[in-house]
Amino acid sequence: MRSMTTTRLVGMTACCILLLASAAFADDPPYGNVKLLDGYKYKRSHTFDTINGLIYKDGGLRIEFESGISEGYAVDPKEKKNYNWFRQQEINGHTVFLALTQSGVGTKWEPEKPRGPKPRRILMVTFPGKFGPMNAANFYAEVLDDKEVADMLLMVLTFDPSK
Amino acid sequence: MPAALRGSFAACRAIQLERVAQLLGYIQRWSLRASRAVQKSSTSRAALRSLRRVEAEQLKSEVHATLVEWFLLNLPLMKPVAAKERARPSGPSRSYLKTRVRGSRLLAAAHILAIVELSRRLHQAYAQAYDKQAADSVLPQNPFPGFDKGKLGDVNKALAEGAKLLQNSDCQKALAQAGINVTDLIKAFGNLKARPDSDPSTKGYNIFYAEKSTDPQVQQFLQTESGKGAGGFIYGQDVMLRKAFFNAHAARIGADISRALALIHEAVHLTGKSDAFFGGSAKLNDVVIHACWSKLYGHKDLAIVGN
Repeated sequence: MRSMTTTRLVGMTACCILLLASAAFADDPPYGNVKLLDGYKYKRSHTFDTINGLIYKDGGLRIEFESGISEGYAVDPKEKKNYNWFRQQEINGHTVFLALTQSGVGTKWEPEKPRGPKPRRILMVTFPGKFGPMNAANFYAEVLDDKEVADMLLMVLTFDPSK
Repeated sequence: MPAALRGSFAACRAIQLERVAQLLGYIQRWSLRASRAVQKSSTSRAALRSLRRVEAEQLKSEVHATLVEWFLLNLPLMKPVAAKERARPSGPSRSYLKTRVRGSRLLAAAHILAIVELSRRLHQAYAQAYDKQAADSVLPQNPFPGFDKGKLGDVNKALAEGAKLLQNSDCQKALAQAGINVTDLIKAFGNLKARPDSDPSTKGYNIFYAEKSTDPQVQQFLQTESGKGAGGFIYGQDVMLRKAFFNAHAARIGADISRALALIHEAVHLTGKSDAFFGGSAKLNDVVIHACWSKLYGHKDLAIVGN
């Protein structure tokens, strides 16, 4: 009887340690509760005045995220003429600007690890913030095909800017 | 000012006014009775005798209930003989108020006591309304805090280094090529001034310590993911710095220069250029570092990034 209790205790302790260890080694949870599609990972970082993130699939799509009080809008409705495609939508009470453009035309952003030749197709999503006129959260990615456009939108549009 | 805060102020004022009104009513009633007593005591001895005993007793008990008795006995309001008679345990029980106290002196004493009482109660009401503990939790006490001596030294050193870097013509040229209005930048940087915590005024300063700010919007921002991760940020036309600005780590670019470059970065924002304009915050860091420090270094070499 006594040995059974001891065995159970040891088992439970081992389970707890395993759970804690798995939590410690898990990927960073994405900013703004972004829901990732299968096969995608998330990495957090920051600069002096922004928080940054990277949603990526090994050898595939890489979405860069940046948010800050002086971030500014990557997608600016006044710059529509420079975009191949522009949309404005209200999602869960938050305004969202979306644009597809070419590198060097509608944006100065360049991917950290380019995957295709210039000019690159860049998909950008901007969530304006509430702390001043330059407060925003921007998502950028070099998209190679329609599947990547769909993947990006399915993940990025789950972002909650109030977090 | 938030509506809740305005409500709290109004409530405090209402309590104060109510207390003052109560006090004034009390003083008015008391003065009226004292005046009547004085009026009657200053008339003839026969008139004094006709004063109703009940009313006199009531007045006497009221006077006994306050500090008036003690006050009167400790001031030369009575003739020495009267005081002696009052102190004697036995003997005739004659009202010293009716017969011995000079009317004018009693009135003056009543006024003095009224003023003393009014001041005491006003002070009490004020102390309650502006109780420090309550004020700390309700009122914005220090929205734009200053820096202690050590931190102020770091900021001032960074400002001096940054000003030197911006004087370099190559730096100015490269910044202009990146789309920055250099005249505006030099002006914005030159206007930066950190507030020492020893100065009670915020006037003339525009660099503050965000960690201790009680500004509701700053506090709200610091609760967000962006706020938690920021080492500094622009708030209106001010620069708010956080702990990370001072916690430099070993890096290829030294702490003082890293801080100077970070302040130039923030000053660029003060000219109206956002991070997105340069393709991201790290890209703006690269622009500033390449223009004003060295083309060999980049964003990741700053001593105040990544800590």
